[in-house]
Amino acid sequence: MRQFTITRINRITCLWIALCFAVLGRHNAAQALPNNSNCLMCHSAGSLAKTADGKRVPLYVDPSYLHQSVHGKLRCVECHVDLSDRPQMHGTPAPVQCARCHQQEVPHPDAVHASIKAGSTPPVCRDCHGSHDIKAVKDPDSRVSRRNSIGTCARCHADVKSLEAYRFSVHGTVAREGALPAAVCADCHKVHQPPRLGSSVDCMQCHIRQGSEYRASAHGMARLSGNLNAPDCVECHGGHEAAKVSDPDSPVSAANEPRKCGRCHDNKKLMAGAGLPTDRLETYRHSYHGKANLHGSEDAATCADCHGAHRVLPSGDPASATNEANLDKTCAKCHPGVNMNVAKGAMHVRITKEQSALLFYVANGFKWLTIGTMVMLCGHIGLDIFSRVRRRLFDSLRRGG
Amino acid sequence: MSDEAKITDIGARQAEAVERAEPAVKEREFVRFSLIFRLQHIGMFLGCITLIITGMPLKFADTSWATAYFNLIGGVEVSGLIHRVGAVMLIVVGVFHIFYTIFFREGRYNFMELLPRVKDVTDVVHNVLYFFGFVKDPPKFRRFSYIEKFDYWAVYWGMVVMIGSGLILWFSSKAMSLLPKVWMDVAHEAHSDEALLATLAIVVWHFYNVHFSPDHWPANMTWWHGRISESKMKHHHAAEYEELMAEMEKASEPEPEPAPVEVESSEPKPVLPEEPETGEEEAQ
Repeated sequence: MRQFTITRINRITCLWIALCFAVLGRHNAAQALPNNSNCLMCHSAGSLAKTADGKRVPLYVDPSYLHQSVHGKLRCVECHVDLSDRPQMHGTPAPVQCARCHQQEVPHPDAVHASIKAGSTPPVCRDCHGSHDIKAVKDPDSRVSRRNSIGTCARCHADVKSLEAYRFSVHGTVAREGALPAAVCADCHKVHQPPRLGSSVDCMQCHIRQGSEYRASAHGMARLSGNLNAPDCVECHGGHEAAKVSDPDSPVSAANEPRKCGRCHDNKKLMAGAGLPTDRLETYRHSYHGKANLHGSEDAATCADCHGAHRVLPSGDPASATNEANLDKTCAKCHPGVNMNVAKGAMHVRITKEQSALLFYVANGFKWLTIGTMVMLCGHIGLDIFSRVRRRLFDSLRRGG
Repeated sequence: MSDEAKITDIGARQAEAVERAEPAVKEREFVRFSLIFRLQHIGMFLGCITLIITGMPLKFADTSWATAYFNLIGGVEVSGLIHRVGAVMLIVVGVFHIFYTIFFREGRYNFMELLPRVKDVTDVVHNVLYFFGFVKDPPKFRRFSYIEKFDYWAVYWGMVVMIGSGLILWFSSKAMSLLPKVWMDVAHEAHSDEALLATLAIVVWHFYNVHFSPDHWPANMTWWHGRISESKMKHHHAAEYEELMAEMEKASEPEPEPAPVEVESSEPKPVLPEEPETGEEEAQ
């Protein structure tokens, strides 16, 4: 049972104030809302508290907070509406309904916090925005400002692993350094709106150029038309851990990128659906590009260097960087001076007659030359050894006999 | 021929030194390879070893030992740089060898001796028969046995393939502007395949014939000092030895000079710097 106690000194004060209200209020309760100073007569006393469930709950309201808050000009009872007609000695007020004024900002029923499962206590407005000290969202001192919001989220989500990942991500690092545009939790995890993660829309709000390239790419077009096998931003860049491409830890850094692309492009099931070959990583690893990349070269071309990253398109598309007509330009990024000769031959080389008869016969010529030569040479060595052993045996036999 | 005239070459001084060191026991020796000949061999094998060490990890890039190698050496770029140093050594030797073959008397002589002859085919048959015991004596080789000729021409072919394809790969941008891209792939394939073939030929064939063979174990040092003992000369180059002996015999009769050893050279000059030397690779 809830106990309701008021300390002795305040009890006298409150009784006195209540008496005043009782006398004065009778005349004008209907015409005017109680003044804040009326409330603060009690609630500005630092020691005002109640005990609920054995815990001391302070009922103190710092007047200076109140005045500095964005709601500083409102009267207490404009939020605590249920107290407007009985401002006197009152019990626990009903929860404040912010939506009375902020109809637009009411979280969508599917929004992350609003849709929290029954049984747990979903956070309400004041848990993030604050109550008596509430500031405008744009105010840097607001609990949900770009500067403070990570800390605000972390009050509940501190033990979430992804928050740790975020701290070391490019977003987290830059945000910590004080650059305000760096994405904070709510930029991706829309709190008031239904979740849209997976649509990449949230990333594109800030990464505009990449977004427009992606939308026009094979990946983007497939994804945005509902094919969830096609990668979104997070699929390649990682979510909370998203790092700069130049960061070796990024999933799409020079060292990691071919493996990352290969995860899907080596997957027979996925590629069968998209009608794409699965030998891309394998053939890349046979090339000098692939080998140098495997052993730490930063300069060797990776997938995106030829195919483009955000604007990746199938080579059949005339706009694709790997379209035959564009290969000279694409290769010239690293190989200055090359011309359309680069289009005369396969890029992902397989030694098959279909791809290049010339290469096929050269490779097989060398194969059989090597086998033939080694058989002959080893045969000669073997015969030489055989001859020496035979002669020695013969000699010893003759000597013995 | 007198005993004093045992050494037949430049190394008159060198030979004296040898004699002084062990005058009594020292077997008669011949100079088989001149300094310039030996330097070519040394330059080539240093280049080759460098190229094999820096090249094989790239051919077998997906192995753990390749990873260990690249970590040790400091990455593909460093390895590539060392590979190009080896390549330059090889190219210098190759170009010099052509110069040597054309402009040096011993170079021309060795080259002629290295050209394949019908005798090489009969020597192979003869040797195989000998291996099986069908004939009593091994074939009498001239200055270069078919084994050495194989080495020389294998290297000749290898140099052409490796330097040619290597230059295409080295100057890939230039090469691609001149040649269709498929030629890059052919160069890549040829470079990689010929590298393996050459490495195997060296490690298996050449090393057997100059290191592991009971005749030479642990090593035939002729590549270093250029000399060959009389017994080995008789054994491995019987035809050359006989010819040489006849030559010396003839030379010693009219004039008791410590005489030229030139065997086949038709050059008139009597005192040659040394005995015929050869082309590239190998010593026996």
